[in-house]
Amino acid sequence: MTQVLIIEDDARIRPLLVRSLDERGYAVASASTGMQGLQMAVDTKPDLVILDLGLPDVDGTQVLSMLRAVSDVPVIVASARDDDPSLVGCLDAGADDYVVKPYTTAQLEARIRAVMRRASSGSGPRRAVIELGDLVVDVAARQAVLAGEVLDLSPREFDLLRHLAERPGEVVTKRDLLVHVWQQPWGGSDKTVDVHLSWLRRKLGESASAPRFLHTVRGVGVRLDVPGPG
Amino acid sequence: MRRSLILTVAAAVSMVLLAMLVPMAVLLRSYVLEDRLARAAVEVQTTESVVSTGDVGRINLYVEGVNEGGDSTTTVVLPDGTAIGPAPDPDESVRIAEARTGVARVDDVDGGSVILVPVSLGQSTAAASETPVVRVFVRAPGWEAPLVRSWLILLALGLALLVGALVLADRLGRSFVTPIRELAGYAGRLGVDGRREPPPPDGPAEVRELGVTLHRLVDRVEVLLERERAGMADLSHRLRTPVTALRLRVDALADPEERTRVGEELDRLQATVDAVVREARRSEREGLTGVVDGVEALVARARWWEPLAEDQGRPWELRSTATGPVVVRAGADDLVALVDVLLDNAFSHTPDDAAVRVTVADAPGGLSLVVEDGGPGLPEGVDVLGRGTSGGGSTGLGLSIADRTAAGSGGRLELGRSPDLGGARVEVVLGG
Repeated sequence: MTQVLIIEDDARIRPLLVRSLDERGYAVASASTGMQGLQMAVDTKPDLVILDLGLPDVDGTQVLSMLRAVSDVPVIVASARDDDPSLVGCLDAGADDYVVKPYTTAQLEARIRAVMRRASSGSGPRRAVIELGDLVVDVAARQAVLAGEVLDLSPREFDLLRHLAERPGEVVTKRDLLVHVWQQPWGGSDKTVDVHLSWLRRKLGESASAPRFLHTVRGVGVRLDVPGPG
Repeated sequence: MRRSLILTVAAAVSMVLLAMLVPMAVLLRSYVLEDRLARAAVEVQTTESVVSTGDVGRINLYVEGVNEGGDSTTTVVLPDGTAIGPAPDPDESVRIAEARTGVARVDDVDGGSVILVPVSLGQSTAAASETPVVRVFVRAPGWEAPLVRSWLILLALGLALLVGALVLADRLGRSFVTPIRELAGYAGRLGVDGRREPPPPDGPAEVRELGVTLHRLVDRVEVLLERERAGMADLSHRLRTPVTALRLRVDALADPEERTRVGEELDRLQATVDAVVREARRSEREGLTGVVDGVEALVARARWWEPLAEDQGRPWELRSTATGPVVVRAGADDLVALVDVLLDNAFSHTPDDAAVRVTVADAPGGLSLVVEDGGPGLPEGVDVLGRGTSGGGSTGLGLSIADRTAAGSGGRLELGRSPDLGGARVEVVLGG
């Protein structure tokens, strides 16, 4: 059973999260302050930590840095801060994923599964490298290389590519992309996804009419396939 | 400012120099004339002693010798009217006759002065008809080398003073202008390329005071912005945390219908919270200056949509007729959101083969952005700008955000039909 530690100060969210994840088969422990959470992370060695940033004693980013100094445990940051500096800062500080409040239990659980999948892939979450033919996606370095050439991707394009690369051959809906890449479980526009896919295609050296990696499944979403030799 | 200062000093110094040098030059010329008259007076005395001998031959020799060179010419007019030396002008006969009566005189004539002195031949009261007259013509100073040299020295002195004054004015101007220019550059760069170190206080006291005041103002504005940023983060946290709790509670509802119904209500609340947070962050997005080059921002963002049009095989046109950068009162992020909203609508609510045209052009007092498409046009009878309503079934917040961006800049948003493409036409005028 996957052991999850929730570090969240809000007394309304914490018990709800504990109960939701407990009902979904996780062994859940929780802490209401940063220092308490840090102590529990060291003592109980959970499989995954869900970390809020706005904690009453220490800021969540500092907790993350301290945690990274002593542990490689996967961390999902769950915060109301949706600005790029917070998001990028946390990912750079060692967070494995970032989810913006408000989120649903299903969304959070999907992220837990993805992070755990990467963590159990052998080389650890922050050293995960996905190879798809001549396309290599280095998740930890946030770098994609095509035929030996490093691709110049924006942060959002990289996240999009990473999300698709983690699911090769699987049709991913635009709603799923809005939820997991754009952190917009509600609202958001399909066309925003389409524009980013178009840019990604350009950078991968292909087009919608002559796809190699990214195949549009009309009316459903997009699928990343590994092109055959030649 | 520097040029004005230099011109002012040049004008003032030139006037002072003119007022000083011209009288000096005239005075100098007068001194030369005075000197010549004094020397002529001595010469008259010597001539008198020769004439009083009555020896015409000796007088001739003397006059010839005296008239060789010099600034004066001597003539002796004998009682019978014979002139030894250069003949006097016929107009002088009256004055010479008067001089014979025993009155010496000095008259100004063309080109100089004439000294007429009667010479007594020994009698106590000589008759006029027996009195010779010594006439000395003294030339007025002209362009003779010594006088011109003196004038040139005066002129050189004046020019040196003028140049010196201009150099001093330039240095003074620099001491004013350089710190002001540095301050202006610092102020201009604020909010454009991040915080820069303010120039050290320099220049006159007033400029230093201005610099210090500007630094204080910038620091204060940044503190306020930072405080607002923190406040916004707190607002976002305080609004989104209870919504998260509600989401988790809705997830826990056993009845699927109830879960869906409450979930939809929550979606609307979420959209409103997002809009409130976005609006509250406006000043954070706009930064210190709240202005941006609209042409660059709008064209760059419109160009960002081109790959999608290409992938769809959609006719696409991006026109920019603006003649240069146009500063508009909006944040760069707001302009990006504006273009995204309008093009998202155009791409979402038209078939893939419907044309889309984006035009960025100068407008009176600002900039105009027009997005037209070849789709079915805007729905009729629906307030597409109102919150929570739209023809497409979405929240409608897109166009209301565009409307707010336009209004916030002092501009407007107009809806209509494209005359040639046939679909919707949305024009946003941004104030500068």
